[in-house]
Amino acid sequence: MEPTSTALSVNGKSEQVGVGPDTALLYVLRNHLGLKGTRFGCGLALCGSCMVLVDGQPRYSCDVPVGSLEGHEITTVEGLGTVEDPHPVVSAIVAGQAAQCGYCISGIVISAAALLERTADPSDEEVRRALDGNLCRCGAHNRIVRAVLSAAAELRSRDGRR
Amino acid sequence: MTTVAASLPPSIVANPMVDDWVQFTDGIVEVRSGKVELGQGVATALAQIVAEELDVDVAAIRMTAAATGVSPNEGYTAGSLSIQHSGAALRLAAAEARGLLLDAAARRWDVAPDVLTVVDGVVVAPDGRSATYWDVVDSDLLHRRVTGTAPTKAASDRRVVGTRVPRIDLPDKVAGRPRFAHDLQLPGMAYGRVVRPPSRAAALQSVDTAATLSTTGVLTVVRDGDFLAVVADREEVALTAAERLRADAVWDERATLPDESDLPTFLTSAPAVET
Repeated sequence: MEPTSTALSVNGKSEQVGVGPDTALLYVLRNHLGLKGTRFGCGLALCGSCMVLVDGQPRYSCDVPVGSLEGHEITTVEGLGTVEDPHPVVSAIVAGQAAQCGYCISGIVISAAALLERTADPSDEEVRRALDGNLCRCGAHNRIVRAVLSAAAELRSRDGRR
Repeated sequence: MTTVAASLPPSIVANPMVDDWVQFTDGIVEVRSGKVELGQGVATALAQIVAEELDVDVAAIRMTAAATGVSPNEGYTAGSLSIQHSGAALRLAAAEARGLLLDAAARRWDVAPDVLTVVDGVVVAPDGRSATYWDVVDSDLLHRRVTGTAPTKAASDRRVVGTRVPRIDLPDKVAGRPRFAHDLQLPGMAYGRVVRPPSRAAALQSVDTAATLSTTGVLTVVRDGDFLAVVADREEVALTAAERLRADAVWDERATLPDESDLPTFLTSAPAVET
């Protein structure tokens, strides 16, 4: 295997990673860039723990080869907010205590953030559909849906578009 | 002494010192438990128990994740026993720590310990003198055995236990900050992948490891009976090497399920013991 280098843009930062183009983004994020918020769940693009945004669209990072990502913007859960200024979805999930083990939840934050980017006032049904690709084995789903709806309301009030 | 020890919770018997469980550093109460937070909320519940007995705010408690060599050994986190075992131990250890801290403050001020009160970690004397737990503690004050004789709070006096306290582990988990064992990255860490057998009770007949072992980044192949795995310097190498190894393994498979058309014979032929 000849050494290769791939240029990535992650959370607004340019990164050069020395991996082959077939390497799944997930391992690059976690092991090469130290971004542990993107989690390995199934490795088969089924569970959503590894969800990231690619140009704003939710994608399973365990199933995206880094070679396909040059010129695209990747956002991980770490790129959505900070400790001092968390993303409204993060705040709403914490406020609603909407997680048990929490292993799936950073992936859910990604899917929910993508939904709220394109839909300011989603219905309960739309939230459920947007989170369809994220499994939560603990069963915190109903609290999660309520938290996402409350984050949507918070974002609308911030934007002054009620 | 032996009668007291016999009535102590099993976790105290196994980890008998007060400072096995609680330590006071820089305005923080470090609480050590051998039970693991798995989403059941035990870290928060145990923090509440300690906060209650010490009369400190839950925000002043820092739960140390179970760590080999540091945490009290409490065996498995299983069987709905975490509060029963770790909670009982921490309640006694915290009550004991409170008593030792009050005794130390009383000696310092030459008053009786029972005239002292505690408000959020500050020990207050009737004449207004005060000192925090962290002012009072010294390196070996808490390096004593838990006797189990320190009074614990009556249920009717509890102000923290029994209330809804937000989970202390959730903010990190929701925001994706490292919080799981999987997130540990140690110096020189290697990555492994197991090659699972293709079916139940399959036996590993043979495996040609040459191609896998010659892959750049592969450190070793592990074979132990029917267990097969590969270790590599990078996770992505371990993944592809495991696929190579899987292709080069030959398994003996055999049927393990009973004849579906004759289940009564299977059931009645199974060994049975009359009790």
